[in-house]
Amino acid sequence: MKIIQQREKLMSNFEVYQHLCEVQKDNEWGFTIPQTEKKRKHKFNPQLLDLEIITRDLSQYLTKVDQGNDVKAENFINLMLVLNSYELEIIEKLMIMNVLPRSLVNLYSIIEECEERFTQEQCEELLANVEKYFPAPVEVEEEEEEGEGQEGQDIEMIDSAVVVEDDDDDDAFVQDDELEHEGIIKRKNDDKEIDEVDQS
Amino acid sequence: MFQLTLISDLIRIPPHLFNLPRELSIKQELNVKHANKIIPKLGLVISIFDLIEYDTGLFRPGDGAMYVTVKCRLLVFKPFVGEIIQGWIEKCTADGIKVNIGFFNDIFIPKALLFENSHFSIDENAWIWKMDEDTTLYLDVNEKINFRIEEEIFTNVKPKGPISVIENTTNSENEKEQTPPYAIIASCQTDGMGCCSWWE
Repeated sequence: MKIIQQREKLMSNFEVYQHLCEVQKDNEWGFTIPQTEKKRKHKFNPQLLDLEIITRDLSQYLTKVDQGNDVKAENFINLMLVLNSYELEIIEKLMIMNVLPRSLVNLYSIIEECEERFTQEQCEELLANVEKYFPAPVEVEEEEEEGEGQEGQDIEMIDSAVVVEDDDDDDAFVQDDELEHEGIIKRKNDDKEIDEVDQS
Repeated sequence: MFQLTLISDLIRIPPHLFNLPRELSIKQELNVKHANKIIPKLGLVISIFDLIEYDTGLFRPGDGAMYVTVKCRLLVFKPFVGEIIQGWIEKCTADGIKVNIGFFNDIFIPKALLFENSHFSIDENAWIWKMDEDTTLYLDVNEKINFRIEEEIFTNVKPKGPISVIENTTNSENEKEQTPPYAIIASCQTDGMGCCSWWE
């Protein structure tokens, strides 16, 4: 193997997720994307196990940092156009797209010497634009409250989620990580939302 | 966080894949070879991104498989120095904090790169940051945190030799503490780093 060019292009999380969706579609896996036909058999290819593991873990990570199915391409492009109107470096734009800063402190940590390069109004305007195209998720706070108060119930919920998961696609992996369960529950919610849209 | 790398490689396509369209079989073999593997001095390969070109392929005497020279782009996880990433605390020790991002586990924040005035509490198994006299902030296990990439370390991992029965017990202990082939050193010192909830 020979490396011709080490860094040909930088990729944003959004683009990576798009690519992972295609990998999942090609192989008929359904880790984070809702499957089109329900009773499809989970395709298992022992040779592609590594690809399957990394696809599952990475797509679940990206869903958890709000770069998953909710992101729409047009919003992404619009925010990119807004960012182009500022004098930002490429990697700063990339980090803004990945991290989606919600407060001035977060923005200052991403942009070097932010106070000298931009006025406070400009920064607030930028944050408003981020908020406009990528509204902050509200559900997360509710989940946290439940977790603190009623741990017993939470575990029950997780158990039932695992059973459903097994029925769906005969997943070969044992998922005992708490973080992963959250991903599954979130996915279930996504599925529901899509069903609702279909009905209306 | 992610980038595309242009490589050329010689791929062996076993005879049982000759029935597939050529591009598909090449992609599959490339994924088998590279997905979820670390390339020294480069990073963690997620999957192959696209094929650029490939030649007609050659046979070797005594082998039914076909050898094809391929030029393709790989999707690689390689955060740049100074990048800000979100992750979850996996483990707190007196030496520092281990961060988990789901698909990659070897991210470490040493104590020297944590906030000033922070100390480790054995009783609570957490790092505590005394921001000023009145406020103490906790870095607990499973909290979502922001951190900055400082350094990447590649180590050459030698292939494992045959396992002898006598040394078997000591070997299994050593394996767990083996240095990872690709480790990332991160920091948590400036405003905007640490728990995401602090800065909202």
